[in-house]
Amino acid sequence: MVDKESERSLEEINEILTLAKLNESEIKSTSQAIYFTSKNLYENNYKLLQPDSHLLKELNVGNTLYIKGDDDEEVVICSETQTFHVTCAETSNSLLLVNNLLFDGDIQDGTRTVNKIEVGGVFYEYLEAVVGKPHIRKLNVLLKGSVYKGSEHEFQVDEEKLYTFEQLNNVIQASTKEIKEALSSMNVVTINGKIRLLDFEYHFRVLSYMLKLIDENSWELDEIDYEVTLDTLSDLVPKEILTSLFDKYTEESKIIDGLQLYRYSEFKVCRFFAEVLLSESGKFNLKDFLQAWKESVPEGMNPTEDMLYGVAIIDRKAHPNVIWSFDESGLPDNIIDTF
Amino acid sequence: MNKMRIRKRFKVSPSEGPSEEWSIIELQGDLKSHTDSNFEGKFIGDLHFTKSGTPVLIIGHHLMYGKEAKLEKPFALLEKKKTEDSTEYLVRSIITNKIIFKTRPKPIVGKE
Repeated sequence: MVDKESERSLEEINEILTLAKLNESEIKSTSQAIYFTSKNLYENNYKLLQPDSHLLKELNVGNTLYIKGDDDEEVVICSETQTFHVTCAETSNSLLLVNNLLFDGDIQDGTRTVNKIEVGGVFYEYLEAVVGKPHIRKLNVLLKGSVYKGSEHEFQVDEEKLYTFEQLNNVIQASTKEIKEALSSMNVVTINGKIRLLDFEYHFRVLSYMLKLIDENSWELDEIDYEVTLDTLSDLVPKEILTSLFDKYTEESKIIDGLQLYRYSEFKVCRFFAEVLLSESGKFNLKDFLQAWKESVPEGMNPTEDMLYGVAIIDRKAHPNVIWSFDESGLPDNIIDTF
Repeated sequence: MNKMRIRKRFKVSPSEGPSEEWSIIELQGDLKSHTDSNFEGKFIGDLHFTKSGTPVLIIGHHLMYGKEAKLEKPFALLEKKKTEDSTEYLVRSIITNKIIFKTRPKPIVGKE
């Protein structure tokens, strides 16, 4: 390296070319004199990130992304829909970052010129980002501190442990879409803008009130009336809980005389009742369980074993066959930690 | 104790204005200075292209032939921007091309 700071002249360049036994006629007209940048070569704020094809797509369309990670966490980058795991890779070569470098194809024939180009940074490492599983276990950990058990218990709840969706989105290492999906599979409701886990027994009580109205009003299973449900139970249960659970458990069925009617999701109702039954004892005789399960759900609903995926384990080698509760969401995010 | 800690969330967004053309010159090994002074503002070397399009890099007494290559996986160049209340990363450029010099440097004789 030559230790001088003046601009390169064509004469100096040609002189060295001659020493190198290269003739000016053998090279293209534009030569580039490479300098280190005069400011912040070491203290620059540049990072090289090698995105996988999914992340590259997000970057190319100019989507905004978020880097999320606490000091003790592996760093992730989240798009609106995906989570990318970030690791640092080293290279034994040096990577010189240059601005406006001319490549062979950029140089037109013409008079001899010298272009000055600057190296803005030298890199021996870069970040790699690869699409992966979201880290959502923390969602459960954060929400467990503020379980909703009914308005009469609210005075016990620590305000500082309540989170809005936006707050959760800031700290959970997953994309907005993945967090929404995770929440929709959890028993959560939104109360005063805060996301709350519903206490299991309270949840069961409210859902039972709601389902009892089917009998009391002699409704068909696909003719559930939203307004009547809310009005009837408004003295017993806060409206936000009712609307949340109604949203969670029902789907639109039909319209009669301009009135939208709903049906309870057989899958969701049966699955929840299975969880309730299984929570009451350790191992269950499978046959007894299936019988009790059938009797617990509203008439006309047919519980089947495939609804138990992710909430129970059945041992078919035992005599008699047994079933017990197993919460998949309690498993660690990292599959190796499971063992 | 279970209070929410301040956790980090940094925004990564496209930089405003025309996108910049950044590329990479990849060298085998590392650059060392004759003196111990720092590199800022210093001249590194001359880059030429032969008529047939081969890049030639002359650094000090050394000449290297290289080649142009497309990055198998492009790099995104991120720049950290700190303001008083937030830190943000701007995507300055997607780098797709490089010139790589991995041949052994040839000494140039007779140079003062």
